[in-house]
Amino acid sequence: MRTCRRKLALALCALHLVAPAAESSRTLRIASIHEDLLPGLRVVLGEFEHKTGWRVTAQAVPYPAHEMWIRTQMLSGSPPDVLLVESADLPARYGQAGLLLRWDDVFRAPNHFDEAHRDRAWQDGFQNELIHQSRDATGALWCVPYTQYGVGFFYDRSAYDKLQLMPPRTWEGLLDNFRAVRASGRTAFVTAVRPNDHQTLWMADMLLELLLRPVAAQVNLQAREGWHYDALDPECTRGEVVTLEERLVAFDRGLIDPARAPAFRETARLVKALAAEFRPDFLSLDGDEVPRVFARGQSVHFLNGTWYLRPLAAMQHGIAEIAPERVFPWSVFPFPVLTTQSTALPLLGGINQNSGLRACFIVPLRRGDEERQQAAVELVRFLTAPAVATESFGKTEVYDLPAMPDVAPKPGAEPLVPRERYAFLTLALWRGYDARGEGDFWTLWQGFLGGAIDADRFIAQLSVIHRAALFRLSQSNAAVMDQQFLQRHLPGGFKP
Amino acid sequence: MKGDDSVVSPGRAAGFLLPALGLFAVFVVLPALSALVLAFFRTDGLAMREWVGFDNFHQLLGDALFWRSIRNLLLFALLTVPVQTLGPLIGAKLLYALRSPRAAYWYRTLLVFPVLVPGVVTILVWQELYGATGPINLVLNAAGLGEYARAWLGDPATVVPAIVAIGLPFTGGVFLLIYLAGFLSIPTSLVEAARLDGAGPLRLFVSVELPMLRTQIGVIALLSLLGVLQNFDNIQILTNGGPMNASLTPALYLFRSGFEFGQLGYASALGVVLLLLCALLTLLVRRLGRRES
Amino acid sequence: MKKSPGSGSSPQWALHGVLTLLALLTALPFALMLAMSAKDLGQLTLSFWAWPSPIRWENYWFGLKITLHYLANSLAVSGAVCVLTLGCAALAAYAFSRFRFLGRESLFATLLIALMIPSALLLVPLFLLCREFGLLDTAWVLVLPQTAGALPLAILLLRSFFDELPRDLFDAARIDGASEFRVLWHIVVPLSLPVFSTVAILNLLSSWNNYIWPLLTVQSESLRTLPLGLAFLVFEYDLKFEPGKVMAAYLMTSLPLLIVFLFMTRPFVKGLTSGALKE
Repeated sequence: MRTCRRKLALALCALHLVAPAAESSRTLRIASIHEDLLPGLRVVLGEFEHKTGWRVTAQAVPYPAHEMWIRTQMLSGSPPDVLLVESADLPARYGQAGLLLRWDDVFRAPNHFDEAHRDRAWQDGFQNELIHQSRDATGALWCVPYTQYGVGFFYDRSAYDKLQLMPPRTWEGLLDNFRAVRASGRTAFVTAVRPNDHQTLWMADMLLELLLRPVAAQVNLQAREGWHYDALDPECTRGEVVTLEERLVAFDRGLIDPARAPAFRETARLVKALAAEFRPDFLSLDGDEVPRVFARGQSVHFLNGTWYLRPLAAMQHGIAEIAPERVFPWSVFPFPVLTTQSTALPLLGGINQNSGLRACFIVPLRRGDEERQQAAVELVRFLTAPAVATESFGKTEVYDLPAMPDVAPKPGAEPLVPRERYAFLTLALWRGYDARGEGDFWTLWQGFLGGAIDADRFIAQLSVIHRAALFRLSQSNAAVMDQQFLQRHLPGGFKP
Repeated sequence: MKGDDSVVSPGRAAGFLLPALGLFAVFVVLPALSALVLAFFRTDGLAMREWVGFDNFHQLLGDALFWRSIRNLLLFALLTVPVQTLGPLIGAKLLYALRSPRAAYWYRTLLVFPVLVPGVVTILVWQELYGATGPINLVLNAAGLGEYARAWLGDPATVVPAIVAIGLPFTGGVFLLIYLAGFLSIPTSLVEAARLDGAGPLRLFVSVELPMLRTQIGVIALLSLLGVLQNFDNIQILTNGGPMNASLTPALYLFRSGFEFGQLGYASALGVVLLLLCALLTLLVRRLGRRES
Repeated sequence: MKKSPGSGSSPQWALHGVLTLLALLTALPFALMLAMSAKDLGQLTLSFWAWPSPIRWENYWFGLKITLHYLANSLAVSGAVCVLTLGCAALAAYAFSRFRFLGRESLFATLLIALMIPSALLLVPLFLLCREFGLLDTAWVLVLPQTAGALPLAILLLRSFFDELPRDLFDAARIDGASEFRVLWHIVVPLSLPVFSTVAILNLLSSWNNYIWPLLTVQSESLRTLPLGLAFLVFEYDLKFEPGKVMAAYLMTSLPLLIVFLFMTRPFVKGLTSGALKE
């Protein structure tokens, strides 16, 4: 009896401890799915409080469960004020569901935290192609780019020295190197093909973007007056957007339909050729294991981005303490160029090295609390101001390339800084256009790369997936699309 | 034995029953009814909410992923229920047959202690073990059986057995204690009689102990089956239904539909189906049990 | 010492052999956890099976430091669930057992039917309900639904036990003019400690391990219970390349329950064997 009473008392006390302190009314919450960017953010948050009076708490979101975590946060009705997520897919999904702040208009005003560029629109403080990549299939901007990754081939320099190989410039050179490595008895390339590991997807998207350029003008029908596509002028696509209506028309005309546009088949062929040199268990490997396999010296190459510079160094450091002889020098080289030898399709310009937006900010819509919403926007402005971002990046071990050209990349990430840039316009996405079809895509892609499905079947199925996604989007966005444009160019409507 | 129960005023009875029934009504009955209603809507929990009648159920019946999850469920059940029912039984028999109660106490503690480790820890440790470069593969490689090394959780063929195998050697846990209690409640007179008849340990087991333990076996088989039907946190943490939906179960599909894909109505429809399955199974097992006794 | 009743002609050495093997198999993953916790990344990558050198003692301190508040949260929540469940269930079970009132058995049957409801069904509506009540991201959302869910089984177990108590006790108390509540508190409860422990332990275990519900409803890091905290550990503290520290944290969090149960297994088994689990 006495123990019962004591237990009761203890439990009540403990409950008090556990109940959270009432949230101060001027506290913002920022959550990041990139745990490596978090320390850098935390460094500058004090300055934000000093400038605006809003306190900010930062927390990490576990990457594997982040989709679910964010969904339940949204459901709960009180999500974090700012979220730092990866790539534009999630923002597109939630944006289309009406849950996020749309940035198109906000971007036109200058960023008052950016004191060196007071007369320039906030949008112009970012790399052009990243703004493009931040848009969804309808052209709306739901996220603010923060970092980009440079993707390249990490390679074992000692193996290269031994086999007397040089970092390849061309696609054929890459294949030659891979074959030479395999002939010497080692694994040429380790990768995973999984929804949580997009390495092969990046390759496909880069190749597709390159090969679809010839039809850019035919897809981008609603371009500004007098526009024409010039691959060698990166600025020519600034402000240009491929909207959903243009996509529907283009697909109907076969320009971006995998079954009818040769660029898709060619992309599939190129990636499949590379797949011959993959480590054989690539379908069962998990994304996390790939760099470990490389660090142990079990593969001569792996494809990844700037964010692996730090972990790789950490792994090698750990190995060095025990078996210094197992440590090998490594470096990176950028994705090779396609030449007329690589493909029979017309090539306009070279490959764009940037394969993707990495971290970007989203702000959930907060109805009824304008002040708080504004404060969240201010926080994003603050964090993307070049001076602040420089300090943020500088205080971390993150090697991501900043999305702001006025912020210098860290030393060590140099080889992955893209040199040439070509006019970037996302005409089509390799895996489709909405989340629903993504599961089907991955199964199909794995089947194709693994040899279970041949190229014809793959292309046919890919076309089905793309068409279905576009149809779904056309249904759910029917109210906001330019119906006149559609009537003119697609009189029968878009068929599923 | 109802004779001496007190007849009390409804008010007094209510006072005793209210806390429990109140909580129960608000946090169990209300959501259950609400789920039944939600199943007829299409909603994302935020802005969208529309009545769709039986659409969710039609979609369910035609959903390949749902049937895949049922198939996986059967596989899980086929593997899990026998080992979870028989494993502890064998363990309890072994313990029961020990001469020294002191040794029995220590073995029992050793076999039961994983129950005390947070479940998440067990799952995460096994995840580490199953890694492509984890201890299991390391051992296989070292033993020259490298060709059997694989990503156990990443291969659709091995993922379900791998998840089930996390309970190795299946002889411990709460079920062991329940069986042990059952063994200890067998009247010693029966055991002595059988032994006088010259029964060896095996015949003793089969003709005396098993029949006496029939209730426990039934209860545990049912609990195990219900567990397979309802529990999905281990699958969620390990593979989230993958690879390629090879380990997706209906309960996990429900969870993901609601909380990952934002289809709350569809998730509720899945829940209704799950409820029917659970109810059916429980009633079936109980009827079987009743008929036997 | 009294001989165990089931022992007989079985060769003891064979029994010991098999049981030892089983015990070893059971302990294997945790032995590995222990082994890995003493190492750092380098040692784990290259010399997985070797004895750690040097032994990374700081891993354990670090592990404890970062998981302490998760442990505290879990203890508080589980404790609250246990106490609340016992309290409500004892009152209700007493009523079912000792009072005669209209609809007694049908009400009880409703409770039992609830045992068949899969918890997954309730996740979505319960989440929405807690959202409406403003309970999300508070301690209440962790305690109340779990208590409600644990009530049917607890009431079932307690009622079975109460039903077996000899009637003369109650008669004697009633002659003395004691109120029903006093009878419960002073007579029934002290006699029911075994079944109380059983219910407490079952509740403690299931609420200690509850992962899915906190995953959905807890937003702030400070409110995380143990399973959630452990699953998120690698990301919250940037431990992707420190598996040794992670394993050490897991180890430190396994200790509390182990210690608690070293003292509690006897009452638990007693509770089970006292017939509380008769159908």
